[in-house]
Amino acid sequence: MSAPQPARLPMIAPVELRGHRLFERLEAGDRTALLALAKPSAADRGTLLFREGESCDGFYFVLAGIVRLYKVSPEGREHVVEVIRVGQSFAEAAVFSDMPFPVHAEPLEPSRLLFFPKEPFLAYLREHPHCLFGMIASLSVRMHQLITKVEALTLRDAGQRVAGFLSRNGAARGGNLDLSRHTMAAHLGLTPETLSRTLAALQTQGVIVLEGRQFSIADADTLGALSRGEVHLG
Amino acid sequence: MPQCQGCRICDQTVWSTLSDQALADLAEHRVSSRFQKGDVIFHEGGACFGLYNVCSGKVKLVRAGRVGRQTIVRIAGSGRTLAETDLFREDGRHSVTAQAMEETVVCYLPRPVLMDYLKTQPTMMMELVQRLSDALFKAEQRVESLATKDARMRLAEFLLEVAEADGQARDAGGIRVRLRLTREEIAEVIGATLETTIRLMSALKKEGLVADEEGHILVLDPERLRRVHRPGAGGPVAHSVM
Repeated sequence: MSAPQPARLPMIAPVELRGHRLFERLEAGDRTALLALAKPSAADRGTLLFREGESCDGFYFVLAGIVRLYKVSPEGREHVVEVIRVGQSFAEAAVFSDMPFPVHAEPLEPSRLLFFPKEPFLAYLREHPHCLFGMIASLSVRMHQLITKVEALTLRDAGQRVAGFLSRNGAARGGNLDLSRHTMAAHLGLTPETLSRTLAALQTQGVIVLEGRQFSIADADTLGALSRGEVHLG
Repeated sequence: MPQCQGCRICDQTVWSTLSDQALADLAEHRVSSRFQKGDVIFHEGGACFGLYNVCSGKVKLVRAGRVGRQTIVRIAGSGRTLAETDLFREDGRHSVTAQAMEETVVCYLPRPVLMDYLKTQPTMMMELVQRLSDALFKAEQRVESLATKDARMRLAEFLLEVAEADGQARDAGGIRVRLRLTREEIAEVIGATLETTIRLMSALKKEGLVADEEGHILVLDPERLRRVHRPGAGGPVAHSVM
C-alpha cells in the first residue's frame, strides 16, 4: 500500500525533525535535504496506513496525532506493539532491513504525517554516509528501550507493569490516560480485566486516585517501589 | 591473545561487506579469543571496548533482574555480532552480560579502530544499520510473544526455534537440539518461573511432543508442537532469539 494522498499542509520546517532520533545527530543541511524527499499527508482515525506483511515502501514521521502499531493474532486478537506520538517515527527498521512491514498501522485520532519514501532516502544515505553514524546511535537507543521492555515483560507482574506505566506517564502528581483501557492493557500485555482490577487495587490501597481518564498519584513512594518490584500489590 | 587469522565464518559476519584488502588491513587489529562454557565475555555495566563477532559456539546475552531472576535477552550463534548497540551508547557501557553457553570463539575489533574505519566504509555502516534494524524487528516480535502468548505457547515457540536454528534430524525421527539447555535457561528465555517451565516441559513430554536425550532436547513432533505455539495455524516460526 502506498502513502495516503498528500493533503494541503503548511510548509514543514526542518526544525521539527531536530528532536527525532534518526535526525537529531544530523547536520542542518542533511536534515533539510532529507526533508525535501518527504511527502506530507493527513489520515483520519482508523485509516489503515499499511498492513503487516506488505512490502515496505517507506517510513512515517508523526507531525500531529497518535498512531497505533498492532498485530493481529490468529484468533483475531489485536495486540498493540507500540503507540507512536508527535515527533516519533515508525517503520524505519523495515526500510533499512529490507523487510515487509512488521505490523499494521492506524491513527487513533486525525493525524498529520510525513512519509519518507524508501529508495530516495537510502540513496541519499549512501551518498552521505556520515548521516549513518547518527542513525546507528539512535537505533541503538531504541534497541535498549526494547530490551528493557522484554525484561519488564519477562519479570514483572501486573501490579509492577501498571505502576511502571503510571510512573512513566504521569508527572510528579499525576496525568492523563490518553489511551483507552483496551489499548493500555494491550500495550502492557495484560487483559483489560486484569488492568481494571490492578487499577482498582492501586486506588483501594491509596496509591492513585482515578477520575475518568485523569489519575493523580497519592503515594509516589509506593508507586515507585511497586514499579521497581520492591513491593507487590496484596 | 592471538591475532585473528580470519576464519570460514567471516563471510557471515558484519565484516562480510569488506574487500579482502580491507579485511587484511583490519586483521592486525582483530583479536580472537576462546571461551569455555560459563565464561563471561563482558559484563553488564562494564565499559564497552569494541565490537565482537561470534566465530563459533553460542553466547547468551543476559540482563540481571532486580528481583533475583535474570532474563536471557538473546542467544547469539556463529556469525552474529555482540555489543553492536553498546558501541554507540553515550555512556559507553554494556547493557547486557555476554556468557558462553559452550566452547566459543569470539573475534573482537577495538572501538577506535572500528570508528575510524566506519567513516570510510558506508557499506559496512549500512550493514550495521540493517543488523540493528533486524535485531529491533526480532526484539519487537519477542515483545509481542511475551505480551500475547501464554507460557506454554512461548515454550513451544522457543523449542521450535532452537530445533530449526540448531537442530539435527535423527534417523529415528524428530530433531535433536545440539545446544544443551538447562531448565533455568529455558525459563529465562520464555519469561516463566523455573517451576512453571519444569511443569510445562513434563506435560509436553507426556504428550509425546518432546523428549530428553543425554541432556539434549529432542523435538519429536514439530507439527503438533507448532499447533501448541499457534493453535489453528501452521507455517514457519518467527525467530526471536537466534
